[in-house]
Amino acid sequence: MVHPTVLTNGGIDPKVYSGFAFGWGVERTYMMKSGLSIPDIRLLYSSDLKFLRQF
Amino acid sequence: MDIKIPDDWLRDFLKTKATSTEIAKYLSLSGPSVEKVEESVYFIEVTTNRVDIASVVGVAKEAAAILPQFGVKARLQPVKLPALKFSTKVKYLEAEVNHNLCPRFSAVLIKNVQIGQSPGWLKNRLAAVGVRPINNVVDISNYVMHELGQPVHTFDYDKIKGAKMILRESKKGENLTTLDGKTHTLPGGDIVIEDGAGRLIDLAGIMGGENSAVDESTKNVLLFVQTYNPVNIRQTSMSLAQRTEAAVLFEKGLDPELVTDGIGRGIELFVKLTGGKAEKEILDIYPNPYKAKKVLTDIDFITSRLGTSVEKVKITQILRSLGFETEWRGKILAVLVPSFRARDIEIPEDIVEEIARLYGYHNLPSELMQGALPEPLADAPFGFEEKVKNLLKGYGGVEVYTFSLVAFEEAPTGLTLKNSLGKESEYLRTSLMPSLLKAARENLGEKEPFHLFEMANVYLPKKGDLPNEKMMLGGIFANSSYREAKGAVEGLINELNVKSEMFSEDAAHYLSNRHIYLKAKGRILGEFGELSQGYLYYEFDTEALRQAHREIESFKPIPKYPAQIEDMTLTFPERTKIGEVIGFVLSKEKWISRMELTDIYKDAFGEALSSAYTFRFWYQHPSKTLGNNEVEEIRKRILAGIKEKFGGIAK
Repeated sequence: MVHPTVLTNGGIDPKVYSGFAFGWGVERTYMMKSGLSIPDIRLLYSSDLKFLRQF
Repeated sequence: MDIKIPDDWLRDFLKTKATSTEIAKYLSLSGPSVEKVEESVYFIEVTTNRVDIASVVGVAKEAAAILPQFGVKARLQPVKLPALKFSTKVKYLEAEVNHNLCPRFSAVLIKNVQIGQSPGWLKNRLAAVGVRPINNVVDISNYVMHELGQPVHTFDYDKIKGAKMILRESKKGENLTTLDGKTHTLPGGDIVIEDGAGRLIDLAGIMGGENSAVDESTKNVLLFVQTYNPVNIRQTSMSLAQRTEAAVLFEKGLDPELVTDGIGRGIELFVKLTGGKAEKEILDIYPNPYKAKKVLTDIDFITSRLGTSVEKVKITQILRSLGFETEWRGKILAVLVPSFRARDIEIPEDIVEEIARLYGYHNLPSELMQGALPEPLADAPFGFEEKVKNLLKGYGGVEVYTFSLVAFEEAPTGLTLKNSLGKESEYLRTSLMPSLLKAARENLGEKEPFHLFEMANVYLPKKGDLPNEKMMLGGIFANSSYREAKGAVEGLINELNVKSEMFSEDAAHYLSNRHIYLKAKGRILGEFGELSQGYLYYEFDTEALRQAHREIESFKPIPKYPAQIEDMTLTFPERTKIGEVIGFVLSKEKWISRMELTDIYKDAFGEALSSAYTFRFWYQHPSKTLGNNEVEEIRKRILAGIKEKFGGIAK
């Protein structure tokens, strides 16, 4: 549930609107892609061509 | 925070036939996220608002409520405590407690303790959660903390002078040496314990004092279990950089009722494993015991928030399984919050959340949004940015992501962080060059040409204001020639239909005479040039580039008459800028529709390094085929012009 104070601070009336909140990091979502099998999330920020070239 | 929970320890309190895979899966769907199960240990992420889950028993409680929702039988085996007798005054210890700093203070004396090694089962469990076993006294404290989520401390009772404790706020400048040997000068406002001789013997909730620590000669132990004010604990822990396991728990605000379990379990283990004898009366200073908080809501609110109707019976079952008490009066629901959820549950939405997560967010009905399509974001740069990246990839570029926070040398004029993690990430970068250089250097083993690029913000400080966050495109070439690299950049510019001029001008960081700016309509779009050590680098202002580009190029009528094409080879004095030669010819000759450099012959023999450049010329007139005489005339003019302006001679 989105906390009503968060809605109020965003200029939305919590009596009129409500919400579910969820978030996923870009990196983790990418890691979930089927067939990817990257073992360590830090590799995404590597500058090593041996990794970069694969993608 | 991340915690490790061994499966066998969990099953002391969670009675179920579910496999660890099922437990991990169902917990993650309706409760705390299980990142992985490795060697029969659950790696669990506990969010800050649910410190009640940061323990074996805490996880067991959640699992016992969650598993049945998935049709899996599960039952909580509660902690078995010995009979306990609490008293506000005891003979063996005198305590003066600031209740604001310490809402619950409890202690019990355990006499004639035999310090020794813990039994194997205890050592194994501690090792499984990443704690090093030391001796039975220390190990019991750690064991209870991991099992119940209640930190426990032990003092050498005989080192507490006068058998007296004053729990108070520290004054700025007071010194305390903790049992890791570090001496801290306190900032003030820290929770400390002073003994009868005026010495500070404990940095409460964080680490015990060296002067009161249990050692091999300890005979009598004071078992010490408290609840502390989370604000003071957090402040002290962060400012002294003492992030102990106890501090990490206390700063989130623990349930004072948990102290009962903590001290009870502690006594049981001490008696069993150290041969000590516990005093019959436990000192317990708990002036404001927990009074159940009540939250009111109603069935219509619940139904409207969930988007589906859940029967009252089901709501009651769910809430009760989580430890809440419920009372329905028609449509109104009164919920009594258990002590271990008091800091987390405040408003009706919190109740709806508890119902929703156990009912299952995955069981809530979905509906596509209806209504008019919203207006798209005006003037968003995202499509352009993606286009640029794909073009560069086509030219052999490889995208890389480097860090925005860099060391001082890499951004001397950048903004600094007040509390950086280290010198390597103290400054917000003002250019992508140092980062891309670093990235290129990480690939020193590569002998083939390569091209790395990145599109990211740089942070240009503005006086008295937030910095200008500017999106830049940077790229670096290694093992390439100046021409090849420049060609890729020109390729990008052309594909974007940017009409730009290149002019050479020296700039900082680049080798002399090996740097150009690209300008469009008087505005600098970017630069390209050669750095030392053979790297070639470019950087563009992405927004300027976007403004200068055109999605669509205007159609140019196709010439009806064929061009005359011929090659000519010329030699030039050293340091002649060939780009300027081509630019000169094209600007002067109307009927040269195209001029390309097609070949370079470098002759290294002899003293002088001379190079012969072969150009291809396209002579074209829109309304006729040019005759040989006309071509001859143009050719003569071109060669004369080149000779005069650049000293170029035809071979």
